[in-house]
Amino acid sequence: MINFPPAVIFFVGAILLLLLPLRIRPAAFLVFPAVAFWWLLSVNAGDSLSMPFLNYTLVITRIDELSLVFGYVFVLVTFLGGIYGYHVKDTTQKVASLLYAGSGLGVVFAGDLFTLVIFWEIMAISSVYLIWARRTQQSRSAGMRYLMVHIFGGSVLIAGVLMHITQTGSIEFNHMDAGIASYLILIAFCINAAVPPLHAWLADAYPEGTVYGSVFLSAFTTKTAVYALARGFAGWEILIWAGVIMAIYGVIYAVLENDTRRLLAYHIISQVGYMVAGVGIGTMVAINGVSAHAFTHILYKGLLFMGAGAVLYATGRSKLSELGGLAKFMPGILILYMVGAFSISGVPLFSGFVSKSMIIYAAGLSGLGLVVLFLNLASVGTFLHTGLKLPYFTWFGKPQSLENTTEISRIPPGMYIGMGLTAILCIVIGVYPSLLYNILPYPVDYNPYTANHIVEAVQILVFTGIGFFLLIDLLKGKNTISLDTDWFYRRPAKLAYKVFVVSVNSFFGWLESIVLKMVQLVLKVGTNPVGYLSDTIGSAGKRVGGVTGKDHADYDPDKQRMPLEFMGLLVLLVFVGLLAWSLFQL
Amino acid sequence: MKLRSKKKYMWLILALMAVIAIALGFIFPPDGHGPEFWFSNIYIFFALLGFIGCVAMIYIAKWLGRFWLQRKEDYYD
Repeated sequence: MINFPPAVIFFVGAILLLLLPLRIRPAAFLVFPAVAFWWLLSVNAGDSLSMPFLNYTLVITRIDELSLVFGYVFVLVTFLGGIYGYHVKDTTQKVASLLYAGSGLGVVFAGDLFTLVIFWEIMAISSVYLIWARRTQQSRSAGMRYLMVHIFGGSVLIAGVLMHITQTGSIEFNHMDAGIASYLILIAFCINAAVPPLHAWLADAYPEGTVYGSVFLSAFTTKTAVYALARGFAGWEILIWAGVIMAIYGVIYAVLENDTRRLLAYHIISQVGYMVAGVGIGTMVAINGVSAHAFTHILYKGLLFMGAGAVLYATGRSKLSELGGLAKFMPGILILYMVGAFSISGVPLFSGFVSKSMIIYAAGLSGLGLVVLFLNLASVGTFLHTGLKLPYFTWFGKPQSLENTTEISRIPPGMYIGMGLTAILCIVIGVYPSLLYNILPYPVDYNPYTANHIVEAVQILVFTGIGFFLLIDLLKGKNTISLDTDWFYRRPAKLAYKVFVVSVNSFFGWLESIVLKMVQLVLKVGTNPVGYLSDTIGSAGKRVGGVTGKDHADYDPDKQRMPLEFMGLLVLLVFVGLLAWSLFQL
Repeated sequence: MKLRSKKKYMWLILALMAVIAIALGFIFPPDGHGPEFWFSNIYIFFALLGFIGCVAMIYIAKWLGRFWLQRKEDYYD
């Protein structure tokens, strides 16, 4: 029996947090995920909570095995993020992250499309504060672009949902059949899942978030989209190839990337690609793999963002070309980061090894050899950047103008504890995969620790390492940015600004000046018409005589007063006109 | 000098690991349990994939970057 949706815990928490004294807010923050965890333990698959709304029944909460996996990890990462951000005094970020996590939970437990849309929109709006909270010019504009993209995505979703409801008469959120309504909903989900070419918002915005905020950003938006895809579009073949393209796309861009957190953001796209491909395959093994990979991914990606964030916190730098040689200053962060890096790279005994391989295994079972090949290739790129390039150029390599150690600020203990706990979870899942496998939607008949699989992983990792050290000079960070599909709305923005703002502005400016001139003329004439007329008529002669000193606007009653005859004449003229008109009417 | 010996040491370890990785491929050939494809019976396939994939990825990305994608940091300002 459920009395309230889990999102309420976080939403109430967000309000309570504001009412509590500043000093106990960081600790109070941790209470809400703890309560939500208790809530998750108290419910059973099959429970639901519904209420009537107009002619429909809203299923605000629907519990099943698929939503529970996502629910567990969302609550976990909120707790871990809260510890990592224990030192953060900025309550805006804390409140935004609670609303964001709450609406993320709302989405994965939504049983109908209305509820989904509402939480979907809250998610977009609350998350943007985690970007804006950095309070730089870049974060302001990146946040605005992020918001625009998600508002667009939300509108597409609403359009699709309304169409779906009018066509089917049902608001339930279940597997979708082909049709325009479903395509619209699919596009909206793909925007949030960052499927190219709809992905650019992610690599644009996530690196501009705050140190604390980006940990949350890396977890929720893309993974709720993965959940929504798995719920609505499992087995849609187009998603297999969309996922494969994502997986490769992300790692190719990561080669060129100089900003540590942007590099990690491109790897989110790559990793979510595995999940999207798994959704496309759509078999039970594949959906198990998707859920497992989403679970491990949220933890290790959170850990990686925490690590890169810690470096940014301590040094104020996030560009590889400005970092280097930090190993002796923050060895703890390096070790914890490497746990995340080994997890994402699929090193045996770390979490990625037991989840990523499940999707590849599912592709194999479905006879998709090419998919197996490409997803393994993406693993090469993952290890190359997250496991080798980023840590090498951050902690080893030549220190770049960081000789002055006083520049490095002390990392608060909360950051270490948050990272430490996340790292422990990554290893525990890697060593005891059955802990994770037991909560997956379907029964699991898969063992990642076969000799073959370990050999494959070892071969890939070792030879990627050799390739890296051979070509290490090519991978040095360069002060550049890479064009991506955000070009289409960032570059023409200047042109659009010119066309729709500057030119319209200057046109109205021109019109305004003409109107002003006319008004001036009317004023000039109106204040003293007789003087104006006589001046204009008589000016030729006067100018010759050089007597133009007197302004015609100065009204001289003796000279310029209208004679009475003039008015009489006007009245007479009116009567003559009326007479002519009435004659004409006859 | 110190740096050079460090590098030598690193390459030695890498070579050793490479030998082990390849040897493992021959010691544990596909056992016929999981799904198999044409590449499953090339015992060093994943080593090749790792190395060639890594080198190709770097060169392709660098080439794309140089001729198309990479711009100055103030490109959008």
